[in-house]
Amino acid sequence: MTAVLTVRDLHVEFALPGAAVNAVRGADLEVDRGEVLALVGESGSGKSVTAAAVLGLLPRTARIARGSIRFEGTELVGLTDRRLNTFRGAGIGMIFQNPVTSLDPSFTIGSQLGDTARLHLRVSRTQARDVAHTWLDRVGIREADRVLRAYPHELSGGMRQRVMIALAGLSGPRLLIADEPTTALDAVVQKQILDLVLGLAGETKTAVLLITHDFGVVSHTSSRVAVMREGVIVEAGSTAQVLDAPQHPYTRTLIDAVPEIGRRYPRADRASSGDTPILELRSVSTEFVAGGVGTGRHRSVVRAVRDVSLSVRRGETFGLIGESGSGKSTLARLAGGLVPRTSGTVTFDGADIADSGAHELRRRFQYVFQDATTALNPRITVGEQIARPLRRLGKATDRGDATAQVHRALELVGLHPGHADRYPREFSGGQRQRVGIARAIALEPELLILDEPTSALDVSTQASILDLLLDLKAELDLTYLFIGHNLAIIAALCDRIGVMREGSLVETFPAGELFAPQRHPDTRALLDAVLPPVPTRDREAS
Amino acid sequence: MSTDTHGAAPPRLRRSFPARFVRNREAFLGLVVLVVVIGMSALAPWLAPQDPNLGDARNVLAPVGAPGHLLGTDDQGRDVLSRVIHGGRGALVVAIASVTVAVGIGTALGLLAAFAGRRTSGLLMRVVDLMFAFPVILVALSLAAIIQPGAWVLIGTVVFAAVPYVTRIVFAEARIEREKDYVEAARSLGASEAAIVRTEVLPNLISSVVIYGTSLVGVNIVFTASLSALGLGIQPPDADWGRMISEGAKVLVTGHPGVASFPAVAILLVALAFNWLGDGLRDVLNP
Repeated sequence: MTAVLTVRDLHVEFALPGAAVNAVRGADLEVDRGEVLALVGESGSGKSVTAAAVLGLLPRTARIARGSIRFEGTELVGLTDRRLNTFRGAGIGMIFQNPVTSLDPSFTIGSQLGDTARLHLRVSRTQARDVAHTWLDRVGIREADRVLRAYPHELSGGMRQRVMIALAGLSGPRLLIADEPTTALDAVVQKQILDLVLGLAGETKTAVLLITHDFGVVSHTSSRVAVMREGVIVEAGSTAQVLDAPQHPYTRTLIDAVPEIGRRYPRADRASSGDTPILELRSVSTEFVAGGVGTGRHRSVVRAVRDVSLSVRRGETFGLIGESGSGKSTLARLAGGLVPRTSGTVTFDGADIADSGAHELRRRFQYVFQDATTALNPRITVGEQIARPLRRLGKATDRGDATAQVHRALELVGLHPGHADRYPREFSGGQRQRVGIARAIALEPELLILDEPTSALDVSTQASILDLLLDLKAELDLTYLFIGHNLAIIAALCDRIGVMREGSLVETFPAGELFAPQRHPDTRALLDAVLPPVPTRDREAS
Repeated sequence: MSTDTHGAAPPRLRRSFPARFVRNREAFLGLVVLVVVIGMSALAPWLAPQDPNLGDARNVLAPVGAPGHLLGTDDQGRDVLSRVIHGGRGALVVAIASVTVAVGIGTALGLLAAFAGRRTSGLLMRVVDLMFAFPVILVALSLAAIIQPGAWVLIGTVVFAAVPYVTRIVFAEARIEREKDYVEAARSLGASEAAIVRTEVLPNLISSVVIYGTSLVGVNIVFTASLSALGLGIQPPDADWGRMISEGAKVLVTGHPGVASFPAVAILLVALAFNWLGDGLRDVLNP
């Protein structure tokens, strides 16, 4: 059988002012019909650049320096854009990482799907609509009629990614390139989307090149895997073989970085938790009002958090888990008084947060946000961002004292004190999250709310941030409220777990009783969504 | 931990602001032109070869290159070169001062509207809409009727005309910034609303405000010249580019194009320079 895609000795160069960067240095890949090949690596390893090179979508500053890319025997390197267009869509389909930005916000789903159908299948307008409808059914969208009329912003992240898959699958490509298709999605939706891609590929014998950084995803979907590091493929082979006996130490690191369900972090148990509650929520609810006069929409009330009671004990790590939209982030903000509550009481260390002084509360009660890229002010140096609250809340007596504390905080999170006079954009994603953590711990708080602190990061970066958090907890005597959507991480880190769904807390249990038979179905659903990096199924291509 | 960075701090990824500025040809050229023009205006009494208001009835409308008058003379026999050198003083001071005031007021109003409650914000922005709808020439005429025509009329008119634009731009940008996570983070770190607006959001708006303000100066040099040409601005006999164009226009058809053209070229050059600087700054400040 001839391969659908053959990449030989591919070199891609980026011309930067004053230097040329070799993003890909001699990559060899082969994808057969009906096969799923996973290309794995950290961000910056060159895996997305390889995919972009196949489609001829490299940025202007990049060029293919050497090598060949053959699609069903046709050489793609050196073809004009016009010739390449005959392969894009019809021959090679693409699913992008972020369905928010890859769908056109000003057109309805129906018109975007319809246009693609008319272009590639050469059907009439009404037929195109039927084709679009059928495809939405196929990708598991139940209210296809409503979705066809909807604009992208009206759909959830999972729905949008389903639409992207319909858009890519509709023209019947022989090769589907999926660039981190589930990184922006929560664990439950991730599994649904991966299964969908697998199902479609199986039905139509489409070859799939799946790009990911997560070995959990690899083991769930692919038959073969290629591991990429710094532009070079360091290891390739069948998924089962690579997972069982990885040859390259880098592969080993990537596999180990995936948290496995039931495998506790060895240091997570070191700290002992007392019984005194530090944070107590008693039947709190909050509502948001959407629409109303002047917005052109009907006024509607969304109950984001419904009647939640919860207590976090001093010294423990409490994990709060749920799908996106379940209200867990709102609950966290509500606990710190960042969003107003409609009813209920929140007490911190015995005092109602509404009564205790704002300064006192803020100093002892801190947040680390999900995306450090947006949670840091882009126009202010990180040192100043850490120092400001210290001065404001009276933690530092003068500028010199504040600077000393900033340096100490940066060292605690594994950064260099010399980084203090830099701007956030000069850091990598993982480093930015370290800055976010430094900003919170510089105040020496007692309770730290971690709102999905690692979900914007690579698996290997995630592991190092989690290590850091455990170190800091032991060193500074912290209590954590850890919010996440990946049960494996929560179970590995936390002492007790609370599961949220549609604004309600469905159950709370000690981490050790995760597998107990009386667990709620919602907890089981989250458990099923975890993708462990073990070869559960043998997907060898025949 | 793979991302440990103990040891020497790694090299900076970006060039410093002055280095980027000098590398940006547009911004640099704009700045050079402005420095030259502003320098010339400031040193006008020493640079100008003759008194700009000294007429010579025996030597009216001398051609370009006439002895003693490099750019010729106007219909009253005044030296055009001296008048061009002097004529920028009023226009530049008026345009820069009034745009600075307008940017200050507009930024304050825009931020207030973006962070205030629904009612205050709605009221403010509707007032701004009214200002948009008001004919600017009518403002200039009313001002000229109340106070003597002169520099203050120009300043008042430009401020009135520019404030709504600046307010709109700052309002729109501040609304976007307000929803960003760093504002919530600042709140969780104990910052008051006033501190958030002043120390967190404002630094993120400065670059757009500076860029917009720079282009506004260019536009308003032209605008104040038109008002002066209509007789509402700088009064004769003082030299002013706008005034010179309107006076020169009378003799344009009789074959003396120099009298109106040289001040026109000066206005064009300064307006262009301000726009280059604005465009260049945008590239330098927002890479």
